[in-house]
Amino acid sequence: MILTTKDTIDQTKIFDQVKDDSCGAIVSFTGLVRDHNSNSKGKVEGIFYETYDEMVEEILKNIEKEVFKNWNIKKFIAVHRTGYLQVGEISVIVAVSSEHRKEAFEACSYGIENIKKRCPIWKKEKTQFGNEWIEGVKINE
Amino acid sequence: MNLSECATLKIRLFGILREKMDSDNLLISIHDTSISLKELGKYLKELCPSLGLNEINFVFAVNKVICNGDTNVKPSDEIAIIPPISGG
Repeated sequence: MILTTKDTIDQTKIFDQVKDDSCGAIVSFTGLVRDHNSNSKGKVEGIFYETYDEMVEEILKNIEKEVFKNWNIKKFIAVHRTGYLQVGEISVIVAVSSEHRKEAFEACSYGIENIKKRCPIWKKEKTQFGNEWIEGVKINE
Repeated sequence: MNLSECATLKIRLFGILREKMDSDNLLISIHDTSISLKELGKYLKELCPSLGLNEINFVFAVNKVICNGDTNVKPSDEIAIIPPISGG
């Protein structure tokens, strides 16, 4: 399952969805909105996430195909939030189940690294001094 | 270029670019039925200096795929300017 959503991400629900009786391992990465950023002038109150939804979903589909091609895993879930999130809210989750842990660790790491490098998603931080777009990196071609 | 024909391209904007233009897209007239992304980038820098494309490391996406400057685009393509990303 891969998607972008305006709804709160339910970590327990994701765990139940990725779980499989044939698997002895689940590895997941959960990204959260933190209350500071090294480049911010003040304490972060929240982050607005903007996405190019249609393209993000295409890229997530490609990442999903790549992990199934490269690792012997059972299920792969990647969900990214959009809209305004407060500190502590989940912004992204990648969860993988496999028979053994090694494949799940590697596939999960590949998933989140590639989401960060390849998905057209932008963050705008809210602090007590105002709102500011986070300086990003050139999208990986 | 064939000056007897012209076309309008719709270019989607996101993040800081959308905010700068206060719009989700730009409509650009070109004096031909297609244009390379290299030419389009140069044209946009001249036509819309307020976009600030000289100051950021942007790329184009065509039909949801990142494309290089040699790619030709036409009105039926979904064109987007992708400023530096910061997801996760």
